[in-house]
Amino acid sequence: MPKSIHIDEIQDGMILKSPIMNKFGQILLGSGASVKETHKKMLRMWGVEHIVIESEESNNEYIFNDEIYALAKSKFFRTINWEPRNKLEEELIELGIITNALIIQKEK
Amino acid sequence: MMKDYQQLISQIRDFPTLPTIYSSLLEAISNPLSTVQDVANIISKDQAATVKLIKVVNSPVYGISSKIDTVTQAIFYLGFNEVKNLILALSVLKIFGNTHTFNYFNIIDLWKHAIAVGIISRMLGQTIGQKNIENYFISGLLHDIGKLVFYKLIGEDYAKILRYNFDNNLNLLETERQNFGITHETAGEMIAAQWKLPQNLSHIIHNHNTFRTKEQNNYMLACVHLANIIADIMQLGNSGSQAISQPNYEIWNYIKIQPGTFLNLFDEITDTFSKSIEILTVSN
Repeated sequence: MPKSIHIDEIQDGMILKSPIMNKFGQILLGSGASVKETHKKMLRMWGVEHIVIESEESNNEYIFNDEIYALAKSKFFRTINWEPRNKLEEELIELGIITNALIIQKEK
Repeated sequence: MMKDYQQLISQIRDFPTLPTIYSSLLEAISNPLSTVQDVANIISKDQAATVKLIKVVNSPVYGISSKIDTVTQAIFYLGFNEVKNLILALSVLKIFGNTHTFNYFNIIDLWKHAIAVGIISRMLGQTIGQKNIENYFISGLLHDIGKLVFYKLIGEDYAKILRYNFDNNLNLLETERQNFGITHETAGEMIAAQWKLPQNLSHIIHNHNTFRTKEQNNYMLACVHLANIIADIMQLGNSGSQAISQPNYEIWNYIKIQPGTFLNLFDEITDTFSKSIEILTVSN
């Protein structure tokens, strides 16, 4: 979903949901373009304070009680016999735990 | 329960061909004189395919905001190649749609897994910023075509194998090799050759589990390889393996994304999947 952020919050790779325009209505960066931290200075010069980015920050915060989480974790760990080698692989494991926790929660 | 290897191979060789709509379509698209109308006419002759095509085009898989009502519109929005891919998907669905299912392991679960991998592959392609992602969905959808072929030919034995493999946390490729002398990867590659599927698709069918590739820059294979693992992790459908394999480390040279991306995609994957399975599983 679209989210408006201040230009100070810009991080590399954020995707524009609406074009950035200067006060004359000229398009500086089109919708769908990816912004970089180095754009901040240019945007400030053009008087742009807020931009609208694509954000999936909605309801992906899953909170489970300790018991369910522990059960889900042990269930998921039975299906893998490997150790994560980077952050993204750690995240894959997190996906597995969440999936199992949601199933356990549903069954209760 | 070692199957007669030679007999299985000859059964695969005798496997049904794709419906004629697909070959007519290929022919029309490769003819530089064909117009959008020519291509639309070929599809429109097959009413069932037309209805289904319009449904899929309007499904969340493609995320097109306006409503598509005609084949011509579908071609304008998606292009010849993606429409051809969808007709291929529907043709495959037709071939497997009436497969008798066995209680040990439902064939629908295999198909659901395929849909999930198609959806996730396409999302990953989009996320890593690939400009041309039109073949990602079909590649994910058909990556396990060999399993469907086994199921259609030796359904009861294969359903038992899948159940046995799943329940005992085994490696499916090993289990297949031991029991049939041939894996679903090889069976899939044979069918891809018989159906004259594009080379890159056949490459994915044969290498999606291991990410063995001599090709440079094979982003699509990397996405399907990872999507296959994510679908298992999220338990969308059932691939026949409970044991989740670790990604080939090489794919991280292709999948360069911010930490947090997978968690962010979680809801979108679940949502697109649940809205798409109905459209893509109802036969005919």
